[in-house]
Amino acid sequence: MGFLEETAREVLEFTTNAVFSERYARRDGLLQRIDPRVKVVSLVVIVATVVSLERIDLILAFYFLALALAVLSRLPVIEFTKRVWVFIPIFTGVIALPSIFMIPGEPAFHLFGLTASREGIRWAVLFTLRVATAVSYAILFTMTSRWNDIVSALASFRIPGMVITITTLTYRYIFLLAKLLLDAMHARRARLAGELGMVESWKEAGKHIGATFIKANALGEDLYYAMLSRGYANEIEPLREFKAGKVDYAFSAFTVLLVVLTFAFTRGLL
Amino acid sequence: MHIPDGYLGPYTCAFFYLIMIPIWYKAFRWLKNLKPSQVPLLGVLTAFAFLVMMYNMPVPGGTTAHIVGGTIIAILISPWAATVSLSIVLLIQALFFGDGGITTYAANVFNMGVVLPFVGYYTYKFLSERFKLNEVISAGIGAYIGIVTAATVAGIELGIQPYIQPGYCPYPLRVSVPAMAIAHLVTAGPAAAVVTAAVVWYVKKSRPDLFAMRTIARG
Repeated sequence: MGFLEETAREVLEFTTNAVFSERYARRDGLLQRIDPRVKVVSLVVIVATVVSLERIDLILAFYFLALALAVLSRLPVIEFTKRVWVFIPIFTGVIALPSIFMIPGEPAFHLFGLTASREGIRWAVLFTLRVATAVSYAILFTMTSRWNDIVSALASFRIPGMVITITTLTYRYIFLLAKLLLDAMHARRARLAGELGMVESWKEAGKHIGATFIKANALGEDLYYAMLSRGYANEIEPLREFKAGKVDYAFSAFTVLLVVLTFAFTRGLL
Repeated sequence: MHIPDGYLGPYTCAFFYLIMIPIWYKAFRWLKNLKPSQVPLLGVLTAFAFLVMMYNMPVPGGTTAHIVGGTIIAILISPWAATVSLSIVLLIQALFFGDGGITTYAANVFNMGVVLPFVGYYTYKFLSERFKLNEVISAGIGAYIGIVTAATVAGIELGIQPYIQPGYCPYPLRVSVPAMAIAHLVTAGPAAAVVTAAVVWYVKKSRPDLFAMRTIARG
């Protein structure tokens, strides 16, 4: 596969994923109902907790909690599990595999003259499981949140208004630029006889990126005038106002309790 | 080069969040230099930075590589613009596309949004101003050194994990640094160099006015 086809495939995959996530974010489930501010904070706190855990059983419990939350949020569990495991955790498993033989400890089994240690196995499992659990929560968040809500939530965390403005515009223009890029790839492909060589592809990419940069500049200018004529005064106010309800307080309390109990448990206080 | 959650231990993650606070502060202050008309422009250009990562370049060994585009933005606008743009790009990638991680976000921004564009940009500036080297070639060399340095820094971050706490990235420095550095020296590095040089050449040729404009954004 050449550079043009691969890039076009990547753009299509990106757009499909974005549309796919948005579809589940519109469903009426538990996490979809929760205030995005609560959800952002909970996500960060839970993932940070998972990353600092050193016990396989506790991480496994967090993993099953993620599955339970997926069910309560009406996400298709098989699809969810597939999205979690494909790529990052599998890739992690593969790179963790040799460490089974590298870490010294009590021998577990022998393979091709190499000795695997129990410590090594425990370590590889811990590492892979921890990555998979962290990824699960991130995907849970992605599949149940809408972009505009997240940006509005970030705006309420005292992130400078200009950054929020830029972020909002960025997300919108990614799709437009992605479409332009896809068209450019198809147009180039249609005029191409034979395959592009490696270095040729790099140069071709350079020209495409240069052209996209020039287009982006022109779009940015047009956008400014369009916004100015509609009363733009340097910052965009996010449209949605949030009001935390019962579910939000309950979920926040649940997260706090979960994290506190986990730490109390690992420190031997329980 | 995106480091996922679970590869870096809690201390390393916290350390990079601390390092990034003053850098973000400085970058956001830089935004105030922008004219009102340049704010929407930076939004569109950040979308452009996101898109640059979608280009799939064939590399030796039969696989494909991505480039980050930090040096491109640093040269065409300013290295601070690259920091702001990549912070936003990496946030969108981490939250919405599962690329990179939440705990490792600050470390990823440090590698790809600070080390890469600043090293790339100053190499370019040094070569083109001090040695009067052709701007297109300087840009290519800058991109190459930028991406290799960023990858090496990522390799160091991963490689110190076994010394701090077990259970995270399992490979020590003598494995992780060469693995990251060599991969970028021979694959993504040359691709980034040629692509960046071609972008600079193309923009200079077709819109030299944009090239002249960049001093405005530097305030």
